[in-house]
Amino acid sequence: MRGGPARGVPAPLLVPALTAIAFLVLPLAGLLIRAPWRSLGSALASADATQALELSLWTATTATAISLVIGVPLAWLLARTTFPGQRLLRALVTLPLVLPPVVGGVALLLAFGPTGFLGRYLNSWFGLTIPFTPAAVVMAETFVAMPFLIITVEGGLRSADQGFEEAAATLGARRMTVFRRVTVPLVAPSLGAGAVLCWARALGEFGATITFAGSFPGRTETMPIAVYYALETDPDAAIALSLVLLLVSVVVLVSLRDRWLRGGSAARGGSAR
Amino acid sequence: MTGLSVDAEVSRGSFTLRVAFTAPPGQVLGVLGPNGAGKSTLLHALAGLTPVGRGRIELAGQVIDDAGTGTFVEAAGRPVGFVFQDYRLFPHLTVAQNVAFGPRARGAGRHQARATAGHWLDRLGLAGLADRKPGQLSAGQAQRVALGRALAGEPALLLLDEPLSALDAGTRLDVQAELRRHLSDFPGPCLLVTHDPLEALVLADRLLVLEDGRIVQEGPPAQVARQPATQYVARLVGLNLWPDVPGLDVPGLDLRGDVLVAVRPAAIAVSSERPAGTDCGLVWPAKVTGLTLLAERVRLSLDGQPPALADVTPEAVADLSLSPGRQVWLAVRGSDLEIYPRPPGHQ
Repeated sequence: MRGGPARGVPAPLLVPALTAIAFLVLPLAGLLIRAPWRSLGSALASADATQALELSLWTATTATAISLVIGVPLAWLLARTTFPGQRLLRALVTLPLVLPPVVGGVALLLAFGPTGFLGRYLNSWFGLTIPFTPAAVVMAETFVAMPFLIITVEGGLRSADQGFEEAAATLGARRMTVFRRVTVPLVAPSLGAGAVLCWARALGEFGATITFAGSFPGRTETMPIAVYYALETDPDAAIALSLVLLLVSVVVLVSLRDRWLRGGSAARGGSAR
Repeated sequence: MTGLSVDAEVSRGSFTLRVAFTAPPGQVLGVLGPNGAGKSTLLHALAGLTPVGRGRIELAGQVIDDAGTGTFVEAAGRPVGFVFQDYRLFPHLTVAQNVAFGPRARGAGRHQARATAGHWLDRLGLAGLADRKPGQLSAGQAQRVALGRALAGEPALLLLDEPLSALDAGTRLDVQAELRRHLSDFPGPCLLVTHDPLEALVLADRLLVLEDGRIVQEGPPAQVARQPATQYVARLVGLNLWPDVPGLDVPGLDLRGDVLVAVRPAAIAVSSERPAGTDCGLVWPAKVTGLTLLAERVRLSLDGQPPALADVTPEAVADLSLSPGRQVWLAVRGSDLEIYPRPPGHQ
């Protein structure tokens, strides 16, 4: 039994707390109450909704894959090495977490747009135009979502016991072998959690995407953007799409809770200690 | 030379370890010392996990670290097997995969590495545990797996960091006997770090005592146990050690010069009156400061010139009504004094 005050919760705390619960839960309840359950199937089967769903799924998955390929090495660099300017770099990497996504979209446009300082050369040398293409959707999502993966994996690397990496080195393993055969398996729970967070964030991306990629149905109109436009023309479809996103979020939450619970025991390195 | 030759200085923060010693192939060198003496730093330097700040390390005729020339063979390139105190078995790999890790990392093919691992598992009596994860092993089993994993890479030097400290008293004796057997089979030099004197006496061929980053004593275990160089070693082996005894005059013994005197606590006679001078080598008054019951005898802590530990029977405690604060007389025969020159290297 833990100590602490008995059951009584003072009213000045209880009332605001209940208000907070109502504020967070009631809108979601409204979504469920207002949902066109009968026509849900047909609303989702409409061409626009299906297109948006497909586009969102593959762009979010691609953005997560790119984040894994380039973000995990960056997390390793931040966690396992020291170099000048590292703190600044960590701050820059974390910036997209707090930056308004629309600002990220503007920044991407200024860099990769037809007149941007990079986009100009992509255009004149390779004939590539990125903005307002599915590639732009993936880039916008990666820009906004990758930091979630990086900070989760970096945290996992920091809390992982480096003794295992030392042991691997004494057994003749070079750094890349240590990374592949020891480090990655040990931080697998963080990798999983980071990837799920990253994917969920990419799936919900709106501001940077609409700024940098626009909203062309079938090409760059992702689910959140489709919801936004459908609200004016076809509210039932908007609600149906919102329900899908809500369901995905709940699944992500449950899967993360599970991972974090298992991750906690795995990260402590078994019981051979 | 073959074997291990070290003459180096290693810094870790404000701590500096400065050592010079050699270990021939086949020798088990016990490294004994209190916490913070630099034992682990020494092993880390030998394994290549910490570079030396000055000096060099030579192993099996090859220079693996030389601050002077900038030679530094990384940990992964050194033929060194390391058994860590906490074993550090990879939790995500099975026992067999753990043991095969070294051969595999050093370039053996999958099949060959598996065969090597199988050989070591057989040799260490672990064949039945091959498919277990480290989390499913007892501490004694984990210790053997860690040893097998270190040996499977066929190292030229074996390092063991307090290999038995994670075991409970019961398993410790079994594992110790087994470890002794495996260490005697190992062809290269072996360093065994411990702070358990019994472990050092049983397992080591030679002892190196480290204190504050310096070697304070080096020699065969029997000699270290009989003629300790410092109070730390004396306490470990349960002897009184007096660097300087005022008024000590033993006929026929030359006590001039830099000598140490060691005495077994059981050789000190305790009495309430000053004993009549027979052949007593040293008689002095002291005050009891503490009593501890050991098996079948009582160890007295005594404050005097010099201070001492003395063992008496429980009857003597009652007869002399010994309790803290009691004034007594101590006597020790000249023949019970172990008098020897202060070992070099200790200031």
